[in-house]
Amino acid sequence: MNIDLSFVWQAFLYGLAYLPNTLKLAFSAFLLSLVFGIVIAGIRFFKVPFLARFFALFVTFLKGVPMLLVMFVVFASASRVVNGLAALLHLPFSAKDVSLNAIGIVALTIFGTMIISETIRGALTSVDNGQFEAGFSIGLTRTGALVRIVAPQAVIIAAPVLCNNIIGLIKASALCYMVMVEEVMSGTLKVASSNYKYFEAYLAAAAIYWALCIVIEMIAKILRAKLGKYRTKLA
Amino acid sequence: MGGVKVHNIHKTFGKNKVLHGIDLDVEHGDVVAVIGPSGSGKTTLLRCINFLEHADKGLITVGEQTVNTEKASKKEILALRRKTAMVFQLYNLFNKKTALENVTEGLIAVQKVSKKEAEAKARELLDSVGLQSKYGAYGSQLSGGQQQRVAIARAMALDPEVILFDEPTSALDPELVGEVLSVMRRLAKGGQTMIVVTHEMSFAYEIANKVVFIDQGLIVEEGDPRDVFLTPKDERTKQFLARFNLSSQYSI
Repeated sequence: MNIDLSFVWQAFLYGLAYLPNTLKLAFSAFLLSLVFGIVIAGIRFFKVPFLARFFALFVTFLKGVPMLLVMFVVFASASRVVNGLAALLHLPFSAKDVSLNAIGIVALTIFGTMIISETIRGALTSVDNGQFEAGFSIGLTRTGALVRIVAPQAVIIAAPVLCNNIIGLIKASALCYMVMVEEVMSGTLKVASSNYKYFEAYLAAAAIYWALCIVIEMIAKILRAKLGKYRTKLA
Repeated sequence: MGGVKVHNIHKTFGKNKVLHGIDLDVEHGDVVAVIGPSGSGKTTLLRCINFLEHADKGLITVGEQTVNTEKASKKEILALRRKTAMVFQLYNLFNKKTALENVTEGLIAVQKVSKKEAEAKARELLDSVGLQSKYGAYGSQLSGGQQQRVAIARAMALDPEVILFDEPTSALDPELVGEVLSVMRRLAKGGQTMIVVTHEMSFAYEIANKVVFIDQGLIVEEGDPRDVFLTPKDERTKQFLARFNLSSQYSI
């Protein structure tokens, strides 16, 4: 099999031009998911009546659905939902004003919220309950103990998993290609559509994602070393 | 005035009734040792006092404040907790904080003392428990005995009406038990009101001015340590204390 290396390079450069948008998709979705995920994890951790069960169901439901399907459902229902909302609230916008990027971010956020809420909840549960009790024993409120004692420990436990979640979202953002969002995947494939050298284009796309994930892993490693200071034992 | 009063406390976990109506009177400055076999409800009783367990029924008074456990509000529970402090069996030091920060946490976050003042007080307390060289150490860098002494300093920092000790030496090896007990001994001599759930019979005998023997969720016998240890009246108490063979150790 012949590989046209110069075309791989060409596709690589072409795809690289779309890297900012891939980052925009993945990181907007990540930040939104983090906010929603923290709220949902908090509600489930403290077993807030009704809401805790509702979100447990929501998370379980989404877990069983492929990301691609979420993407298509959001894409297909976006115009109806947006127009419906605009009509209901008498707001002067319509589905025409919604960018494809926004659709991609919403779909990724739905997916990311499910995953990140589980990351945060897992981290909160893995902090020893004795930390809460010690907080209560010195007179902290539940929120006080959570914010001052438990959350800082949960962050450290969650950090490496959250890095994996970011990587997951970056890779999932390639699915935005399916709903015509312009990002790394679609960028590299676009150049291949003239000469059908798709294999080379795929290689180029893979290289970009790969490099991106390595950079994030490296940042994660540095963070881990900095955060885990208190865990070090005396030799 | 002051002290701790517990009146008719009941507590059930699921189908398991743990406390069957306990009354306990602790005067200000008292050191009360709670002894009894495992599973008798001693720890649960202690944890009911600061609402780490919410008793099903009964009244709890700490200092001037009485709370009815059946209709305790969050505010009342918080106020009660702020009059108490606790030392745990497994220390429960705040993991991500240094020894000094463990002691200042309650002062800064709860009592709103300035950081500078809190640190000065924390240093003084850590010095008094013999940890003057460990201000910056994390729990994972300290021995069990050192961790427990930090925990005691953390409790002392709050100047609580009462310090609740939940088997403070049970997780320590015999060599480290001594250093923790000596800190507690000094604390008791200083007039701190203490309720100590313990298996250290000799400590209970020497330090406490009152001993409470609990079995199956009921107080079986209570009184002056000399009386309870040397001339127990109840059959169950005799049986329990026989194993510690104290009469031979302390007979005149």
